[in-house]
Amino acid sequence: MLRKNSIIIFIIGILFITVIFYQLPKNDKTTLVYISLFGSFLSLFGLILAYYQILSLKQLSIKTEKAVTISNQRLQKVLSISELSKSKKLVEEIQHFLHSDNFSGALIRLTDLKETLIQTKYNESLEKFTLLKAYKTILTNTAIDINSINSSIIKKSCDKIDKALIINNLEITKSKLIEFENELKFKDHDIR
Amino acid sequence: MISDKYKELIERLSLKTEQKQIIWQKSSRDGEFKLQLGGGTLTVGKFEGDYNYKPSISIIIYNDRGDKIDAIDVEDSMHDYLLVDEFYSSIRRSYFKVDETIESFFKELNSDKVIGVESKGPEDDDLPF
Repeated sequence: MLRKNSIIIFIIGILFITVIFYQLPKNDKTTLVYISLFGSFLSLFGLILAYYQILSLKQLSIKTEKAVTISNQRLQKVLSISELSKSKKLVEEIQHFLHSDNFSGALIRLTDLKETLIQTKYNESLEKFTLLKAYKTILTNTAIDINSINSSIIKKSCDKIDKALIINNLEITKSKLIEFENELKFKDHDIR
Repeated sequence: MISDKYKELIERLSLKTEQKQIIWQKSSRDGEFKLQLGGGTLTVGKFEGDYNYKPSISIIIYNDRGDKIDAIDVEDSMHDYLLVDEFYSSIRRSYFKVDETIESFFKELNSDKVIGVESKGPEDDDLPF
């Protein structure tokens, strides 16, 4: 479209300077004057063409930037969903470790879970959940459970842990993770 | 020896606990209770000591990201143990609603009715035919 317009403007411009040339007094109608007029027109035409080229490049760069942002958001979304699915599996694994009294295994996985929960806190798409008091409670409960298991392992008194309470806390965490996963899967978050 | 800041915290928490204005919750460790506040969480627990079997009371503070940011351990040989032990007892009593339960006993004792529940004899369990 821009090329077609340029050709039209160029032809109109040549016709315009030809008309101007024929309007000049007879003494000035020399080849040199025509070349000079033509040269001036070419300079002006070049400047306008360059200006439009810059504008079009700017638009292209904005479009590219938008496309990159969208694809980054999509990638982020996919990664977040995968992280949340992994966390759900972690919760199940911890519960299994606790049922079989493998407290060292539960401790390692609980630490991984806490890391994921902290990461999720910085996911902008989930801010409306992670800023709630309930999310802080989950995070703190996980930290307290880590400390409880850790102390029991160090003091070799695993019977002093309230396993039922930890399993219950994990169940609440799992429900929250499922909620997050569904929010990311089925709702759009500025990805247009 | 615990710091003045901790002493003040314990005294203020004790007062509020006695006024029944704090909701203490059970933690995942036996003998430990937690209090969740806006800026973080505090746990108070009574355990056997690490190296000897003497009781010690620990107070742990977590920030809102769940990081353990400070902890104190007060053993029974320490100067401030009595203060912390009384604090722990007040939490325990508050969580298990000991005072309310005793009050309900008094209420029942003050009434003229016969109190207590009669246990059913084995003959009561017989089938009605």
